[in-house]
Amino acid sequence: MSARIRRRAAALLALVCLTLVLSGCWDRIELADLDMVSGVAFDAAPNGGFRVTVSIVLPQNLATGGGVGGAGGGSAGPSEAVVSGTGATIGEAITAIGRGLPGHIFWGHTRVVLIGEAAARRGIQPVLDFFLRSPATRLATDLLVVRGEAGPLLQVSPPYRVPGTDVLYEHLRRQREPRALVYEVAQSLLTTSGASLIPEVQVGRPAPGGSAGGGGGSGGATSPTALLFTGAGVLQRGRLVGWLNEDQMRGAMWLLGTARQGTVALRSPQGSVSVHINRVRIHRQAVRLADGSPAVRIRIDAEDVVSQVDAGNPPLGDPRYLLQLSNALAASIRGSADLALAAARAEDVDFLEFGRLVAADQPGIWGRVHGDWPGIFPRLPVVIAVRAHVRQVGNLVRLQ
Amino acid sequence: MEPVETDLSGDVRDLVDRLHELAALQLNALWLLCENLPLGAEPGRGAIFSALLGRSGDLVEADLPPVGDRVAHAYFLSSMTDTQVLNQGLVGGLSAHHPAGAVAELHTAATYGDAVREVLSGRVLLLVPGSPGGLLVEARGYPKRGIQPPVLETVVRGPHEAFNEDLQTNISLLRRRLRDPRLVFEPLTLGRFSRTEVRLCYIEGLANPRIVSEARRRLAGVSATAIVDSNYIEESIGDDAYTVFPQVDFTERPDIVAIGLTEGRFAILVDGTNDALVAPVTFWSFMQAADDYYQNYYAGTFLRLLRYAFLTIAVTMPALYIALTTFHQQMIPTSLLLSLMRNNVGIPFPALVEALIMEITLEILREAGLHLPEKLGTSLSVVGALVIGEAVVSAGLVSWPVVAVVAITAIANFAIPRWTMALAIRLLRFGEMLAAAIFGLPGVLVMTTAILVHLVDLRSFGVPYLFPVAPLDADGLQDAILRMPHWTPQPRPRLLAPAWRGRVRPGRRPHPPRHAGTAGGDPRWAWRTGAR
Amino acid sequence: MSRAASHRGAGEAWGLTPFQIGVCTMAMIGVTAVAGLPTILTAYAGQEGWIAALVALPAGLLPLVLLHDLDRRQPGLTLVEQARQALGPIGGLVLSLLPLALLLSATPLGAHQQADIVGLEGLRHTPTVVIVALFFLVPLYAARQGPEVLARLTTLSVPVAIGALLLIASTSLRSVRAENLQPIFALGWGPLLQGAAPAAAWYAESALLGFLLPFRGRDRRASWAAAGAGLTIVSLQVALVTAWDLSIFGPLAGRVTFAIFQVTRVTNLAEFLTHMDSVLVIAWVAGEIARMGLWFYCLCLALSQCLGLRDYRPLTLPMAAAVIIATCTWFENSSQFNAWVMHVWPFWGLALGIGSPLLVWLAVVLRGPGPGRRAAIPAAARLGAPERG
Repeated sequence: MSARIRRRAAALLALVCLTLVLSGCWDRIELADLDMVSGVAFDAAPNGGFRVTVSIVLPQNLATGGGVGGAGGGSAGPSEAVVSGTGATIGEAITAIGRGLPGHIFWGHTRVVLIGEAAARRGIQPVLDFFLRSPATRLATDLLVVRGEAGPLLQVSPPYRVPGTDVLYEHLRRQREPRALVYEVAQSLLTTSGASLIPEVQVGRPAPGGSAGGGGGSGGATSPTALLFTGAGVLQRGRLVGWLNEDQMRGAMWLLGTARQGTVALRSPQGSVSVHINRVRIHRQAVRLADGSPAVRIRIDAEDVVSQVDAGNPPLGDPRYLLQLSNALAASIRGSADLALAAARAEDVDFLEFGRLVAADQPGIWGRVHGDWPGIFPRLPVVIAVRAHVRQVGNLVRLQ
Repeated sequence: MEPVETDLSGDVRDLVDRLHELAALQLNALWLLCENLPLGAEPGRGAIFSALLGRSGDLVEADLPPVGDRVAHAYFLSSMTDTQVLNQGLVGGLSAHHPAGAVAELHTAATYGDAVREVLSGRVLLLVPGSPGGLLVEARGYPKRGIQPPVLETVVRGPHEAFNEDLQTNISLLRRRLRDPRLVFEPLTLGRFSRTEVRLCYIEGLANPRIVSEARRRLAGVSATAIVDSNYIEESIGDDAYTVFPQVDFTERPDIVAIGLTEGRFAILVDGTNDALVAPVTFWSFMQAADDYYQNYYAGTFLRLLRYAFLTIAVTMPALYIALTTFHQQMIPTSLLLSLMRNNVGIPFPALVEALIMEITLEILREAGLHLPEKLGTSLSVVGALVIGEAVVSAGLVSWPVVAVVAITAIANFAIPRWTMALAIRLLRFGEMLAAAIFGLPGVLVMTTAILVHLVDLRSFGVPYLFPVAPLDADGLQDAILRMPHWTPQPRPRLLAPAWRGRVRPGRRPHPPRHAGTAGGDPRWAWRTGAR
Repeated sequence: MSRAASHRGAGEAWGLTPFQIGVCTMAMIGVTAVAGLPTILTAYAGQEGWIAALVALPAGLLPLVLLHDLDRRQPGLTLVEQARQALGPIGGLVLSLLPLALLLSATPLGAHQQADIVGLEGLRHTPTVVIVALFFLVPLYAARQGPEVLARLTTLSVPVAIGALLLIASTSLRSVRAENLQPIFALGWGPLLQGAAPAAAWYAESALLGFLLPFRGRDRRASWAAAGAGLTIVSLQVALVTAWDLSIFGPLAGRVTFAIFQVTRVTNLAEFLTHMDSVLVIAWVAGEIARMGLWFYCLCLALSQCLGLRDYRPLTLPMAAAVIIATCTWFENSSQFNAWVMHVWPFWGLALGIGSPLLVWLAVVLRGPGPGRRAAIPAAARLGAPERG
């Protein structure tokens, strides 16, 4: 073939390919077509299916960040739209939602996942599967359980952060509650004990004087505008089996090793003092007893400062008093931990992950023991050693 | 009898045209006949020169004052010679023994063709009756620009001299900087009608002789009707005919050329062009500004690295914006994405079209601004900012983020020091945008890799385009990426100056004087140690 | 003559430097290994998967040793040429079927894996054939230019891919729970060796360096060490990625596809840049393009030498079309692909990878070096592509 014919053929081929390719940009989604889901709630539908509620961000109503040509002042309407759909499976429910929405549902920025009580008792495997399998979702999404129905919580939009689900997300970031990420909860399904904790969220009463139209645009004056964290739900093998209240949950965080910061109120005859915990070091270890059975030893070290004198006139200048405070704090932590341990033993659910600990540290024992773990766990000796140190008193020693 | 008024104008005009045609044919025929005819002592010589050169009206035929019994006839073009030089050197200095007197340059012309060409270049032809051949005297003095600061390559610190259109001036600018007998300027003449003088300069013994001979070969092969600008040569001597990347550097600054010559490169000076071509070049040379070497080496390195960052931005930023906002929205942080979505409400065009609108408008602005006289230029920039920035966005045609992206890209493009490379980058940017619009980030990747493969295979006179990086040469790396201080050893690039590879003089790091009072110290510093 | 050859510059050294050889080794073997091996290793060997990755290293060094000895006896020839030299055209053709089979099967495999990854992450609705063709453009172009261009491209692409790995590691650091790796060595040697088998099959692809090493330039001896170093780095990479994957996902590790890309889904940079999977996939695919170029070049070269052709370049376009078609039509679904990779590939790849140089080496040792063209083709004549005549 002569060079000229070859060149022409090559040019023709390139042209054909170019037209084919230009005609379809298959994966293109323009920004205006996005329906960004900021929070999703899964509930059990009455007939055994799922009811999925999503909150879609409406970007045109968000407060502007200082653009020159944008609308000034407050927003024109609600910053999010809440849509529900029902179906026999999660997929069908989402399709039902999609029928009502003009654009492309976009899961890439979903911040929180709320699961209603009924759905949680049935088992959260379908939810986990959805989030793990779909390539559009994030694996590190937070899960939350709600006593009752989860859908209505998405209607709540606190005025101090938009979109409303951001409040939950930012709160969870601070790690004041045990954080249940999708992929970690999924892992727990595969362990022997199969237990996990998921924080619980509730609608709180509105702050006095705060419900009348803050900058975020709430609904009517009677709708609640606060979301509170009130403990945790206990799941075993993906099914909700019980609840922990706040104290038990805090104790569980101490025993799990995920406790971070917090404030504890201590009372003494000289007065009551609030202490803020700054740094925490927790060491968990599984040991082997003389008779070959396993035991767990947990050591907790807490460093803290005095943050507030609530009542009385305690002698904060006295080092011995500070030592007393330290001991009181240690006792308080110990108390929470005992509460959590008691709850775990009572329900025979190893949400404290002692099974994993023994498997990691004492594989020989674990080999023998893991078949019978539900029976062994409640009687497992647990030694908790707590040391607290009140190091600083802040900028003021004593006011009076 | 009354005069008969007949309309002869048409016929007369035809006749005049015919006469002109005949004259043209005659000139052409005469030239073809005489071009290679040896110039002897025949008496009709002068008439032939008058016929060949007389059509333009600036031919001057003068008889010089007689010396002894000989009268020399001079032929020159008044537009090309400096009459003052002529009067002083030629007429006043004629002596009996040497008809040309105390004049600087002297050539002889062997054929009619040579003589005519030399007169056209501005020399004076002297014909002495009875002597074969002619003498050519250098008396060129055509008007030319003085030495002015460079237009495109300004620096903060450093010389502000630029080349101008006169070859002799440019040569002198280079000679002042490199006073070494090994600096060679090989003459060449190119262009059928322009007969442009071209000089190939290099440092004999330093430059790779194979590269120089290749340059000579390619220059000899340049065939053009007229060389008006060095670009005519540049396009003909490159390695790759179809690439957007420049394979020869052009610069207005003699100091850059001087540095290049000492690195083993060669330069091409073209009469009538106010820049010099330097080759062989690598990709990294286009990212170096003259400033780098005239400033603190920390600053030089920092600015150089910044320039590489800007290069990346200039090529890929609009493409990345398009790819991220239409294909990979999950990658953008949530708050940023919300802001983008808010700004995009109501915009009718897809991101690619928005970006193309802005880019093309910017290109139009740039082109218009280049060719406008200064007084209009300022108003154009104001209009541009107003029109583009505000009106288009307020009309809802384009969103603010796109404007910001395109503006940043334009600024990044200006940070590329070499104009030719900046042009290439502008073209590549459109390709990347298109790839991003169809395939998203994978498309950007494939396009970038294709460009890389092309770059990796490109050569400039045999030197690989990405030289210290792609065929990895550790010594060369330090100059391509960083700017090492002048007192560190400066090895010359392996491929350019092979003969000098081993003879590197290690520089001396500056240091304060060592302790005096010992054998190696400076006695003036003896007070530091108290020794006497 | 390749353009690279005809425009060779004054003083430019011919051939691949040891650094380039090392980097090409990493590209040819490591890119697909790091993407596909960790899941297989954890599926077979559980928590010891990362140890299995290291244990399998000798299987990759063995072909290198054999190639080295072959080169000592019959210097400067590619694997197919060695076979032909020792046994003549017919016998050589028979022996060359082994490396050819390896190339023909593994090139579409790698392309399929790449298309899967990209299709899953970024371009979900784009037809597979378009994705594969898109990623084939640059390797096709680069392979036609010759091994030097490929090597330079690899020098630029592999650091990008390694940088992507480092970025993934640093941004997912907070998700790592080291106790997921414990207990070490609890499962014993059985699962460990089971996991080492697919890794060995992957490393044994180093036999294909037999098509690249004859083009090394100066520092001929150091190139072997560079290849070995490259292979060791690959095994370390695989071990590291497997360990990382295990420590983040724990028991979930063996159940997700393409472990490293699942890790990117939990990456987190200061809670600001989350979900950076696309950028990391793209950086990884940069390495894939280099790898594809090298494999494709070896394939065309081997085929052209088997058929006795003068130049491999006319084969590139038809082979590209064939590979694209094979990639799109070979596997019906992803589970079939996974099953093939997990159950068939360990035997297939290991046998071919070790068998190819081994049989040729045996032939050369038993029959002695071939007569006739004993001396190596002088380096100056082999400008980027072996040319006969």
